[in-house]
Amino acid sequence: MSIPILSARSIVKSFAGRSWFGGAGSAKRAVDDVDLDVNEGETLAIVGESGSGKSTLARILLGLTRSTAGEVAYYGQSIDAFTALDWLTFRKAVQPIFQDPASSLNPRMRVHTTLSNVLLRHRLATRDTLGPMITDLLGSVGLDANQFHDRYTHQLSGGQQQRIAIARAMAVRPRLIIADEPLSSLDMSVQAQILDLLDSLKSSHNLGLVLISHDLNVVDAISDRVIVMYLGKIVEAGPTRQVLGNPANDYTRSLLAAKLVADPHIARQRRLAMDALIGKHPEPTIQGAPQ
Amino acid sequence: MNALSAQSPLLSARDVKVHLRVHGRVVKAVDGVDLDVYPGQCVGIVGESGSGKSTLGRAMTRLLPNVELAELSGSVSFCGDDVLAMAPEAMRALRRHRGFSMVFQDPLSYLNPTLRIDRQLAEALRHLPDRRAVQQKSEDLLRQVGLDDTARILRLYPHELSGGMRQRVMIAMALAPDPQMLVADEPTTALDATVQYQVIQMLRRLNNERNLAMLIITHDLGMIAELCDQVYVMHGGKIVETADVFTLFDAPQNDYTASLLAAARRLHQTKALGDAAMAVQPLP
Repeated sequence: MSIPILSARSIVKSFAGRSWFGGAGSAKRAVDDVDLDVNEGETLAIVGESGSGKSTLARILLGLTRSTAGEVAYYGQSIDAFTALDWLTFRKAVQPIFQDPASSLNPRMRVHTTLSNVLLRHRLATRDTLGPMITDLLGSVGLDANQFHDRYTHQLSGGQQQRIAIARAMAVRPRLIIADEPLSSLDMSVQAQILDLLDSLKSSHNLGLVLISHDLNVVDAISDRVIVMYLGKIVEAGPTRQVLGNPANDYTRSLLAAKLVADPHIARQRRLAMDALIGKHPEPTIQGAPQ
Repeated sequence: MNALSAQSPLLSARDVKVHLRVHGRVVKAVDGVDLDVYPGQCVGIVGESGSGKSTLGRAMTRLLPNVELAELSGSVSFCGDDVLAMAPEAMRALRRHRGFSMVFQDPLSYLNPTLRIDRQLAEALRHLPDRRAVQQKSEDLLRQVGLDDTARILRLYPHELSGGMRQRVMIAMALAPDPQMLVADEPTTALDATVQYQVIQMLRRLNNERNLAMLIITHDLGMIAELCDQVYVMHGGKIVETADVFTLFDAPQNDYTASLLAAARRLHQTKALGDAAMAVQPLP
């Protein structure tokens, strides 16, 4: 087996708790002893609800936040030992896609400026090759260059904005894409399109994809392996078919039970079985974990 | 369903048009909608963003700001009174007692961050004679929405509650005037899956036990399948199809409805999950 693109070992991230008058409170562990590997051509899904630490984990994997303990390694090399040059390679190779495309795109830039900035910054294009490259990139995310080249962010629909964000991520020929809730701000029919786009880009470029989502439908449709998190800990991990098809953990089962099914017959049959299962895992508040 | 159609509708909308003025152009957000809600019935309006479903909900509850309107026509009758033509005083009376209440997507922006929950509930209970009655009714309302730790929750501020608890508090406030109908615009969209499920089941119980009529506005066909009796599909300001929930999902007549269902099924019923969801074991 080849070396994973990204691997994380015993990752802990704790935030200092606050008490009144700035005294030290109890620390809260947002991410608690997490291990994971992402291989080339593989989609790893991280599932959890709010407060599970999945977005904090994403920021640690992207190198945007330092973990309190544990190690993240890129092709076997720890990111703690990175030189400036290593960081440059890493930033190119590991690309994020965020939930809200409108706020991740600069509203004052036209589409071609957004993309050419990235290409020029990483010296992937010269003035001459820039035009055709942008046309290709837009084509690869299903947008017609003539039509979208000069648009501003606000002139695009939510789905088109997310396509531009994906094109920007793909521009630097990444090895790994980390997508944090890439679909949850989009309409249902657009979600299906973006999901297909991510899946086909992943296959055609042999990318690794880390998909962070609270939506089991999305996870089921696209991922190879899945990690389920609750209050910072991994409660279950394994191949998607096994975890979602035959969950071993109670929390995973209650997540599955809560999944709404677009079929009134099934919905009504399931009700009795569900009522017993849900409600054993209380929702965390801002104050911290439920008692 | 046959029993329902013998009764007269609680809410009845006929040829409702809401045309908005946006940057000098007229946008036909709602363009000739007919809709009925019978007592105790749960009705769903489903559509994608921009379909006009929220505008329709706000028009029928008279919560549209007047300034941007180019046209507001048609009739909305609630228990025989024309809501659109009602004087402000009569409208307030309808909201305060046995009328309809609304619940929105984001509870945090409808709760006052500087007031404890007890004060906010008390505001909706001003018709009660004294503080004892208010206290008692507040606790009763919280229990109805599944918040049993009433004494503690009444003393908390909104930021100290989780998202699910906030939405339950919002629904408790909506129930305070003892309404005959609840209009909920994306009531669970901001919530986690397990919490969403619990809130939906709580709405279902209110619908059954109190015979509370509901109008659920959502983009989520899963929620419609879970909760609603009658469904209206909205697209481009018009109702493109209406049917009872089973007929709509089993045999959609309209192309747009069919495409919405196909998109939902692409996400809702895939590989392992279809079976797993069915195979959930009941716990002892």
